[in-house]
Amino acid sequence: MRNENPFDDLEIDPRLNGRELTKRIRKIIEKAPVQARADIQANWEKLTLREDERVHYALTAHPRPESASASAIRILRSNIPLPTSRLQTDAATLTRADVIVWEETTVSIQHLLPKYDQGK
Amino acid sequence: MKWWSPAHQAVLNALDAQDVVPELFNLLTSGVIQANERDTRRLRDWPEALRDSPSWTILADAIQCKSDPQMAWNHAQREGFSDRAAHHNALLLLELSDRLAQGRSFAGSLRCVVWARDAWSQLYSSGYLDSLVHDLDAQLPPESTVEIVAALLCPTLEDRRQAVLNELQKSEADLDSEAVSHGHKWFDVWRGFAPDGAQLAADRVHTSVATFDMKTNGLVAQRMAQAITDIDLTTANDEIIEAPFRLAWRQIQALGLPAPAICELIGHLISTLWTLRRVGRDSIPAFADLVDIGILVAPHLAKTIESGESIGQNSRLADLYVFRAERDRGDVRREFLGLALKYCPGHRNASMLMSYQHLYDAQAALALLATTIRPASVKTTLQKVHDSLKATEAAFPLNEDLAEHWERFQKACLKNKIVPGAFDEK
Repeated sequence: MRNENPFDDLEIDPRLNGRELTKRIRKIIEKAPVQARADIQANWEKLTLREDERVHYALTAHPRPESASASAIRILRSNIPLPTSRLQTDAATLTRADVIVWEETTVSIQHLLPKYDQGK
Repeated sequence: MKWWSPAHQAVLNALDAQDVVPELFNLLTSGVIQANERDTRRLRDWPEALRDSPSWTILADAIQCKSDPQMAWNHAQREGFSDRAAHHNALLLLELSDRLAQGRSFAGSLRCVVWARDAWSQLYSSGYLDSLVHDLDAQLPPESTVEIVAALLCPTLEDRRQAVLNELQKSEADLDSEAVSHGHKWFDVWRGFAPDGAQLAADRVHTSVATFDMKTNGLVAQRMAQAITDIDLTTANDEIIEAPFRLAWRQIQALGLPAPAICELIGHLISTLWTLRRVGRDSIPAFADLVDIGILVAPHLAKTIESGESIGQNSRLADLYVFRAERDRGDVRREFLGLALKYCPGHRNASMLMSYQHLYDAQAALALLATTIRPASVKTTLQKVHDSLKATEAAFPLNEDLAEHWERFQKACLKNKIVPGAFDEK
């Protein structure tokens, strides 16, 4: 089979246009370790230097709408808006829901315990 | 606040993919390929796209009940997939076909490529690809995008073709016939690619399939010709003489017995046999072995002649049958000579040998008359001599020994007080 599709490789939405692609890939490069940057750069060139290749790759990449982000589940969880109660109440009246720690681990009851109860 | 946001959906899709993608991989590959973490990450949209399809309940049942995967997917296809799901299916099934072939699960690989072809047909027929191109807002002239869409499958077909050509370059010991055969069948699947309203895409695929045929046949013929040219038939040992033909025959079988390659093989075989005869080496084992290879190929050549696929091959086929007939006597010889004359009625050597075969029968009957024979059988035996001599004459009128045998027949008639002309009336 052909080499990796750059859209699949970079885990980005094939429907992005050239400008959005550059913006998105720049963000990816900024966060990537130095040794991975050359590969990302090569993929960026594949997608932005020739418009016909971008179209070919976009059509042969798996659809990747926003709701199918390839980010780690931990990161996806962190994107979930916090419950309203936390935003509206002051620190003196915290509820249990306000202090739930949203971490990507096997869910156990320990993670759901309010922190201020632990010393008692 | 909204309790269900896109962020919630993203988490749900990711968790769903973790559960469903491995199950779907099991279903599609009969458990041969396990989805890895990368698969579940890049296919996070797939389960949701499938859930939006009319076929989802069938797939869900199949996963739940572990029913026959092939039947389940075929059933699901009939129920229909959303275009987005078909896009995932088209790409993934091609990839799985490749991964299965690499693991030598050839039957599974062919199953996947048939499903992939059907998914691609849906994408082309539904206009989904055109609408996707529109969304991409590409700065290209419309004719370029039309060509890009039509040629989407070409790189995959080229890769597969190159893999088969690489395999065909190998020596006989290293040749993986199963892999070549799989490649041939894989291309055969694409002969049936006919998406509605996407003639250009069908043309591109069919051109690629035709190129596969041309290049594979060409490579087999070229390798065989080169190898034969390098052989000195006056001195080479049996193994060296036979090797190019054995290799070519294996390659041709793996490629599904294509007519042009069969013709090439028979052509080189006949020419080599004649050369060996000319240099006085027609009694070496290789001569008989080459004839045997030819006899294996012959029915396939005969079929292509009968179907009109091969033209001008009749005399070569007859030559081959004559070489084979020379080895035996009696009915076996008669059978092969009969085949030679069936495909090439005017074949000189076949006619001559057949003529002598009839003369031999006449001779045997005359010899019987000379020994003790019951008087009641005399007339029957003379009839047999007469018929055999007539057949000898019909097969090859220039047979030099015919006149002498007619004379012997007449003498035998007179001796038994029978008019020779009496047999002509029958």
